[in-house]
Amino acid sequence: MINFKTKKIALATTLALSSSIVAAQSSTESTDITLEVLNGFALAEVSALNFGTVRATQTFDVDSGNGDAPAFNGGEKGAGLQIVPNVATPVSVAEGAHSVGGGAGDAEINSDMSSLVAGAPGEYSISGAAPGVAMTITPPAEFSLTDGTTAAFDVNIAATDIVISGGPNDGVTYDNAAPNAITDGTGTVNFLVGGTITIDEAINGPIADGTYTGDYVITVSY
Amino acid sequence: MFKRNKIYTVVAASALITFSAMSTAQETETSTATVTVANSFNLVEDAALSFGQLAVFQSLDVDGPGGNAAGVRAANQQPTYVVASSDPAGGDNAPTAAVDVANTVSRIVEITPGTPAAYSITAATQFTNLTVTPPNQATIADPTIDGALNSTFTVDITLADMTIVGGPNDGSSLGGGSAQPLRTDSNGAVGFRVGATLTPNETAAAILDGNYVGSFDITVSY
Repeated sequence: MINFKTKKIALATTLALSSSIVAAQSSTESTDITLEVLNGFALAEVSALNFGTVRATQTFDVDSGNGDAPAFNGGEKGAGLQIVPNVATPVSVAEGAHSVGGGAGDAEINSDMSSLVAGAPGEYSISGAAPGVAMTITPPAEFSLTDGTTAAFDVNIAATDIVISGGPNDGVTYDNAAPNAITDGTGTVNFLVGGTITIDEAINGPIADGTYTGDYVITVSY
Repeated sequence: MFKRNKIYTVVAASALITFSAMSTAQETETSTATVTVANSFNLVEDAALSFGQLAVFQSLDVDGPGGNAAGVRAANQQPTYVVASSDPAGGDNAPTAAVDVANTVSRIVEITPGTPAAYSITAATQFTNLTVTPPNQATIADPTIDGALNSTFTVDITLADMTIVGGPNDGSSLGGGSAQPLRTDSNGAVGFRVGATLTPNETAAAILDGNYVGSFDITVSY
């Protein structure tokens, strides 16, 4: 008669290995995601646009007898001055085209503006913006200056009257098509605002001495 | 018996969170633009017009040319006294004799010279021509003398009686063949002296002793 014995061994080991792999792959880690949204920035006026002291006169000649009356053509204005940032002396602006009488010496519009004391461009400061970002500057539409009685002057500010101050484009004229007022490393950039003042086309007669003012809004965005 | 172990792999893929800040920020600033108008300038009389002290001899015993009746003298047959604007001390003054007529005893003798009037302009635009409007003929009289006696004088002033003081055209006359404009200097200042021609009233039987006074307006404008 013959006796047989068999051993059972391997199974236990395999099972143990299998268990450990599952345990490693099921661990999870929780991670915080943070994001701070900072869209706001500060825009402050450093100084307002000031056209200084001027002499300004505008009179329409009395009709010389041909029956014609002088008048400014549509959209044209009287004589004026332009304040250009970084240029010390205001630039004279000639009066606009106007219709006159038919003959020589016929009725004319006599319009003059000259600078007695030079004014200065306005200056604005952008701060607290993201660094290296191009800001968009929108000048105001045409506005009037009045002494409370007569709105004797019109002011026009074009995008090309704006000059960047500080940041990577310091001294460069603002470009409306490709905004180039870029903030520096601290999120700051300034800009100067010039403009053109003209005698309003309706003025015919003495312009009273005194101070003429008008409010305007500068808009900055990005 | 073999048990095939399946290895389960669980990969916790971290979700990528993308945050696009599509919103824009905008700031506005309201400013006040200013211009000061100073059309006025200062015109000051520094010295009044004086004819000094004169002896005036006038007689109606005249039989002038052209068949004038005795006792009637024509205005252009009168003696005159001219105060020149060239010398502020009156050194250039001169009486003129009456037109030579038969039996005339009319003449003016200077005792103390007269002196021209003087005016100063300040706070005008620099290097600008100003226009002077001479006065109409003035009359001087002594208010203590009966007006019916016609013991008066006429005072005539023309641009040729004016001399510029200061500015680019210092020393030139405002009238006559070598006239120059009244032009301000770099400070917007200029002056001028005004002389005159004094003529006794031809209808007076005699010019009586007295203090003769009167006034005239002189206008300066841009």
